Amino acid sequence: MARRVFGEPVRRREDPRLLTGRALFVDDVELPGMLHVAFVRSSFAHGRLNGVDAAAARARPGVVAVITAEDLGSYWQAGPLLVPPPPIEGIVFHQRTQVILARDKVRHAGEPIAAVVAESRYLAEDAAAEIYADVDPLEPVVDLERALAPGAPRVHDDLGSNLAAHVRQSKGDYAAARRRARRVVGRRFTYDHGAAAAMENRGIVARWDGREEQLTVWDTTQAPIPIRNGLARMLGLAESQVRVIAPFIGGGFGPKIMMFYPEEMLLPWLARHLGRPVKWIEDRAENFFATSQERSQIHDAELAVDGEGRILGVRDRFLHDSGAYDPYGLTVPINSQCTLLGPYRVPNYDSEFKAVFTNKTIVTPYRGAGRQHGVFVMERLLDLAARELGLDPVEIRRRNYIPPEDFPHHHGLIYQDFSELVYDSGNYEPALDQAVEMIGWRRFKEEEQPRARRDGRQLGIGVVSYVEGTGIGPYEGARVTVETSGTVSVTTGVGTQGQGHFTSFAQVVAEQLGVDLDRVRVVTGDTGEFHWGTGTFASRGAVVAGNACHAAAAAVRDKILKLASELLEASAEDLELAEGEVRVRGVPGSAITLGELAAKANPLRGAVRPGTEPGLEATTYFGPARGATASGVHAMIVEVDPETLMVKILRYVVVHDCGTVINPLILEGQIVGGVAQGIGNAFYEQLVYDGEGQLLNASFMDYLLPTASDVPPVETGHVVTPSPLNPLGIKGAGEAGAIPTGPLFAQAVEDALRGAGLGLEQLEILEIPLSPNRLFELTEALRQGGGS
Amino acid sequence: MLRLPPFDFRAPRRLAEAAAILAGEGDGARVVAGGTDLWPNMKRRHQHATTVVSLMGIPELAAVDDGGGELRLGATATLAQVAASDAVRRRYPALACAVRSISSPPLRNMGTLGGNLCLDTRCTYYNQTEPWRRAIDFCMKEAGTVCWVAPSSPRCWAHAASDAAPMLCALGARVLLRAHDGERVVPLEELYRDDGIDYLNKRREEILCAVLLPAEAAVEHCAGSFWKLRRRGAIDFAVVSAAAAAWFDAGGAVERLRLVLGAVASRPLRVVAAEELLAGRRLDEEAVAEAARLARKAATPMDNTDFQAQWRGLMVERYAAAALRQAAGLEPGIRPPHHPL
Repeated sequence: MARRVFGEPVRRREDPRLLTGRALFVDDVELPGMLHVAFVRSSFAHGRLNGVDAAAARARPGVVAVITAEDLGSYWQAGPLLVPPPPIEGIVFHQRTQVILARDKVRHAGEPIAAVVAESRYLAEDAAAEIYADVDPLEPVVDLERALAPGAPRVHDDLGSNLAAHVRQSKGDYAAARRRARRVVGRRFTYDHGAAAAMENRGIVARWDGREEQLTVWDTTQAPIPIRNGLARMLGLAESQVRVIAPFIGGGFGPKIMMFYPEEMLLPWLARHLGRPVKWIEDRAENFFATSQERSQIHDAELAVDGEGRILGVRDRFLHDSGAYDPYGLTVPINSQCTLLGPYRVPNYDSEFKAVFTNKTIVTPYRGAGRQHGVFVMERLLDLAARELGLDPVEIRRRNYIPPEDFPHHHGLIYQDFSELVYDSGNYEPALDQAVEMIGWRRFKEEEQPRARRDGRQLGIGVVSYVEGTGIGPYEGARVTVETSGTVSVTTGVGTQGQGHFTSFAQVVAEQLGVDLDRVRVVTGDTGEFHWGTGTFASRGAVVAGNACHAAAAAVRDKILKLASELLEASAEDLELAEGEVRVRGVPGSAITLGELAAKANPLRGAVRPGTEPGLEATTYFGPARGATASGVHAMIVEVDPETLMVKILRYVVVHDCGTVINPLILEGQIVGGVAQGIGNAFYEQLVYDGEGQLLNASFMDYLLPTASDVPPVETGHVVTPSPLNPLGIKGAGEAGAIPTGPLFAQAVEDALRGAGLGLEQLEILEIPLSPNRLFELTEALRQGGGS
Repeated sequence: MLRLPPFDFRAPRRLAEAAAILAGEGDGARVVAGGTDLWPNMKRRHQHATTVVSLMGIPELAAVDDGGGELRLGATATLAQVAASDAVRRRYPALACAVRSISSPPLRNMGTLGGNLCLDTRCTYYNQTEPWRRAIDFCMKEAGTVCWVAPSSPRCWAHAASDAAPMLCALGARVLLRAHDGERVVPLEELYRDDGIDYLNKRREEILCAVLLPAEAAVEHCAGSFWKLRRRGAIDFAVVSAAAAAWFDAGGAVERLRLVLGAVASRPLRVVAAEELLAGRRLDEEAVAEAARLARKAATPMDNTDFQAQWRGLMVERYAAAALRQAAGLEPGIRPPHHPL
């Protein structure tokens, strides 16, 4: 029998290359005659750009060119709108996308104004320092609420205000539900998400081969195929003249699918314009200013419940910070709006948001992509309602889960993929039970917490649930080929930024073809190898590309069986594929290897019969009707030191349901990595902008990523509810770990401090991120207020 | 891309040669050891040099010399070497604790004890990107005339950032300074000035060669302790640190004690009022609380870090109390998640 590989915790096959420095990253690309690019960026958040004096820079030795907006001629343009607004009735959306190089106006600190091309990066940077950008500073738009006030300065002069979009989605009749409610809890919530801070910054190398009339671009993108298509269009080339390679990439997390970045539009043009290869590698400071981020939303939300804590309805009004441009459309705020509903039955919902232009870096999805913001609001509202009704946080969630018989569950809203928000499948209560059991909820409440309090230690516990819309369309494709050597090649269009595709896709294919994993070679992210598809985002790689690999492998399997049954003179049902060969079941010695079969399928003499194709190869596409909804429950125990308000996470439990699991080890890695980013978001990371729109902490000295000493071991459990939307039953898992950490942290810290006899019984945490300093302010305000 | 400006790099093999270079090169010359402070500061254009003289090629500066009496720590001994040194761990465990709390293992492998003692002062208005500093106008620590922490102030309020310095001051360490024209030994405490810009009492051409720890500060005579508040378990500079060294008399009362705070002034801050208060008293809860309040009063945390000054003030009290309690063998009273002990 063939060893099962699908579903097994196989170690990642790409890791030896990554760990020994043999993997190719963009900065490893060195080409003869290559030039280096440095950017002059705006030091002001908002200003009138009167002109750029580059005479001194142009005269410096080693400088090949200095390019400003003017020098681009007719190529100067605004980038495309990546995701148009979804078809929601009454939607207002103002499209303003980023330009290659600023002209007339600068709209955020770090916006590129000029590019210097020189023989080395050092020479380019030295020259860039001598370029004078004549900017008259304008009053910047920084604060979300003030941005919409009458008379506020405008980010885009041609718009009447800083309103980027206005969207309302509703179902049922919230006002009527509110009238029936036993309790209504309403608060203002602020949720701020930060920078993805991938280990590898962005980078681009572009080469134009004038003889072959071929453009080759190495790009740290999550979406090489759309980049190729867009570049071909912008540069007036055929798509086949452009090859985009996304090699190994040191983390994507969303910002690397923002497109087109100004640098991404400029570098290929420069390569063609100058006739020499060009390279630009982003530095860490640039990454803070010029790579997209997520940021703040302010929600005024209320929850109406009956006397048993059952949800009657939710009303939400929120503001979303778009930054200076909105090339990614409304994905982030729509995700917030839809994901707020969580795993709960919400019969009446009225949600309205305004997206706002500000003089800050562009906001596009970062792991979670706005889901965090919505989940925070809902989970906190449930905690507040539970408290008013005297219910346990576990109980109020349990009472409101969509029951397993109510799937597919139609929400009656439009999701980020433009289809109706429908949960394909789910089974939430078992995950809650498992999480509560693993964390030892009762024992903690009845024994550990009181005992710790007697010892003067303040421990707190929390539990939250969430759903994650994953695996959205439109489609991905894969080509599976059995080589005459017997190895199997798998090629797909999605790029890889550390997700383990080289292992998980191989597992999918090896399972179908009965070959050893080591015989499967996976290629991703090179449009020269495969050029139909979209990219790696929205937790969709395993779901969409994984199923495409599965379908292609199944098609190849059929070809193998057909040919082998002729050669072995046995019916296909009697054949088995194992150990790289096809055998007649129960007949020893009756075997032919896949390599031999591949050779026979592509003969040098004879004819390929009509209705068949040469070789053992198939290309197949998979496009799900809509996304598969993963879900989970996180639970946590913290200790808060009331003297310093420092918080230590003592335990962290994740119970997750992402349908069928291809590789539990890779899944675990995804979850733990997500939790680390969630913890960063909850307690360490915050992009601090001052009133002038300047980012105050644009370095890792001040932007605090959690370190190994701040992230606890994560205990994981699984519930498997396969998705009916794809043959493998998979749901995505890429963002799950990062989504619910904020409200969980808030709940657990509140639990530690309330009821500790510290005068903090009224403590409510309505914002993320927190810090010891911010907790001090919150607790101090209560103590002061309590005294008056 | 952050890049170093052009400068001459010299790497002498002998101390006398280094001293001669510094004497000859004038104001543009600077000394570098591990480079973990100077190189990033030069890359960010905080500091400038026409000539940089590396001390890492001079073997005698790296030695740790324990004759059983005074312990001599060479200035270019790395922080990792100091923390791992048998003599330090055995005789001055509180110093090992303070040094272990500095940054992260890779930085401690490169950074040196002398470098840590000469660390540039830090400020939220200073440790920023160059475009940001230019956009708000450079502060007085750089090319400007104003201190953005206290715009009406005639002085710079950048704060001392070394973790080794408060502990070594508490232990009564001295430092050996050498220039082309001679050498001198001064108490470490006197190396520092209460000025964010000109924070070292040292002629430019003087090289910090060694730290001398007195035998009387070894653990058999003296109870030392070090507490540092930082956000994460690694990397971060102190938000507040407190170092104590206490000598008790036969009856268990304090004979003499030093309490030194880090990160709350432009120099390591000795809390003399608390030291005087505690002299001759038993270090009990009441005495600790009183002394900690004096520490809070002495420290004037300014709005020069990410954290609210009021919280930092409170933390001075908590951490000073923790350091004193530990020196007295009591429970520290705070439970922050990361403590390097």
